[in-house]
Amino acid sequence: MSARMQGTDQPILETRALGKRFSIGTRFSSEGRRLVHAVDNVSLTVQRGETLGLVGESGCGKSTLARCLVRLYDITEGQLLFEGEDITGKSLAGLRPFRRRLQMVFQDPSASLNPRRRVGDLVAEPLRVHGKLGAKAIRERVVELFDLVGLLPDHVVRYPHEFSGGQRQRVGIARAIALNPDLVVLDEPVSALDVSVQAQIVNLLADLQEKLKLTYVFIAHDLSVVRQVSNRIAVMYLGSIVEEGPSEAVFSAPAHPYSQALISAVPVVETTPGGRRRRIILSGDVPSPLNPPTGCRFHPRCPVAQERCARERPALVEHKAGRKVACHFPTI
Amino acid sequence: MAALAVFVLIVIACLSAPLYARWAGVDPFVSTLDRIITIDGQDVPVMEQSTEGLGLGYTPLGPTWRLGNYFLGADNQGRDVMARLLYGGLNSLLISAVATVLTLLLGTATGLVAGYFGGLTDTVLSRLLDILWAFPIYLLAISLSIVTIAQGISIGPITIESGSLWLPIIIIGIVYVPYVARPIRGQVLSLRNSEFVLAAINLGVPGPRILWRDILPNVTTTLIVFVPLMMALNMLTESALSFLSIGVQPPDASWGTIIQDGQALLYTRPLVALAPGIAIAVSVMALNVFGDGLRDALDPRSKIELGRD
Repeated sequence: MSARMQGTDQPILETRALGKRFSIGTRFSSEGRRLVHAVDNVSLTVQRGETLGLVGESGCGKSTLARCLVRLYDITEGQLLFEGEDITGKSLAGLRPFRRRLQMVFQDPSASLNPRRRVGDLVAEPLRVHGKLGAKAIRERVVELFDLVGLLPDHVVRYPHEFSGGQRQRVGIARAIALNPDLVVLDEPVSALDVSVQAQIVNLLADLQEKLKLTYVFIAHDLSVVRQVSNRIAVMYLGSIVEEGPSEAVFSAPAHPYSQALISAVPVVETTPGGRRRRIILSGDVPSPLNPPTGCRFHPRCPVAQERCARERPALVEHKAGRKVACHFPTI
Repeated sequence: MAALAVFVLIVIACLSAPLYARWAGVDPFVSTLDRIITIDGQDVPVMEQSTEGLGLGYTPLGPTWRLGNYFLGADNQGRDVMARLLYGGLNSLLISAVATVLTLLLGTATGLVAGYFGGLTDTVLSRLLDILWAFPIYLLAISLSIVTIAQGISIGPITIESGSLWLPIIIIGIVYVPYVARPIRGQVLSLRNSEFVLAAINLGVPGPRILWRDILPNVTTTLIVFVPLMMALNMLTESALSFLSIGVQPPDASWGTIIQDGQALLYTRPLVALAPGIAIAVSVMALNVFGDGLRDALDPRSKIELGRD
């Protein structure tokens, strides 16, 4: 997408063994209080200017991780660092200075825009809360933002339901970039949209990244979209990262059996005869995070699993330069 | 809409009570036992000597069906029942309307705060509501009324004299708070986790501003639907309290007190009790039908029920 700008070695965002547990039920329910490990032991770094793609199937904890990254959820384990500063335990008030630099675009624009407020008002909200701009300056800035995301100035007085899905997502993006953030977490920004509109929004995001020097964490389950936009990708399975590396390298030669299966599922146009790829079909379903398998969490479905996999959980280790895999038998 | 029209007619009629009294030349708050009025050129006493039995006691004048001239007859004080009915309606409507405003204000505030802030705040507020909820509404209203009716309320600089209309207003307003606070709290609880509220939190919008700008506008439909339904409930409660002489105090009237006045005359002049009874029934029914219609029109999916689940 954009050239990787490596100013300093300091990552803009870093997670260290980050985890998020939800407790389900109360001590009075039949099975008592149980903990769900929605996100488990995630260590990631995001460099300034890059796009980190985060992929995985539905329910693997991508959105939970996204909400942890912007501290919408309280983090239960590990640490979250923004530009080297630990913001894991910061209070709502303590987070406010970081909010303007760390923004998020939500998956479903019809749910993330208050249906009872005009879109201009919604985009102006962050400016009112954070900035010291006057009413007139705010109005001008909103029009400028609308122009930036490809909406017309007279759209500001409309309500969200008067827009199409793509336009609504443009409003959501305008709101997220209103404060000139450094990092934007995009939580499946296009998966609720029509395919034809998806491309427009992806292009818009790419333009904005270049213009505003943004860093993205791009979450999606659509691999072709992620491949197109990401410099690096991380593959998630059942709350943990199983593989991480440069986008092209991972897509062309995935090293983790789960990544292989996931990537083989992307439909391709067969242009060359005999160029048909082998499709890996996994057996079984994703296990419940309430009761995760022992050892490697992927072993019950893994085509190459051995006895060791059930006993020992593999760590995410760097096998080649920049390529990390959590597998005892990586194909690398 | 027909229901709304019926209710508006009743309101207009009651608002014109002073005009009616002046036009009819009666004072509905002073007993006129020896008054003699003229009907079709004949002089008729307001209180007739009983002709049955031993000929002791008096029976008030029956309905004359002449507007402005004891249309519905007289009560046991010789007062024009029609005029009292209109004045009483004014008080009944006033009390139920103001009590509704009070309930909605208190209930919305409690529901918003409990639902949004959660945790300990929610626990404390919800348990308080539970305590209120645990008493049967009428029992609670009656007990509060009996305690306050003689002395009035005097808390710090605020003093409410006994006999003031504010007493039934406050009592009715408070006992119904859980009816509003509970559903509002539930809605806020789900709105609290909606993406647009998360988005606002992520933008760094302070909590009170989120409550006011993002959450409150999304519960207003519920509140609007509550208005007629709460008014109907309040009107019934007010009538019950006044009927038990612990609501509106004589010589002031309300539909409840008129029914009580008419209770002794049930066999001879049933209309004294029947007229305000019909007025209550028609008003409450009109409000309920209107409320249901409003709910269906505004929010067909919502399930606002006034009652315990």
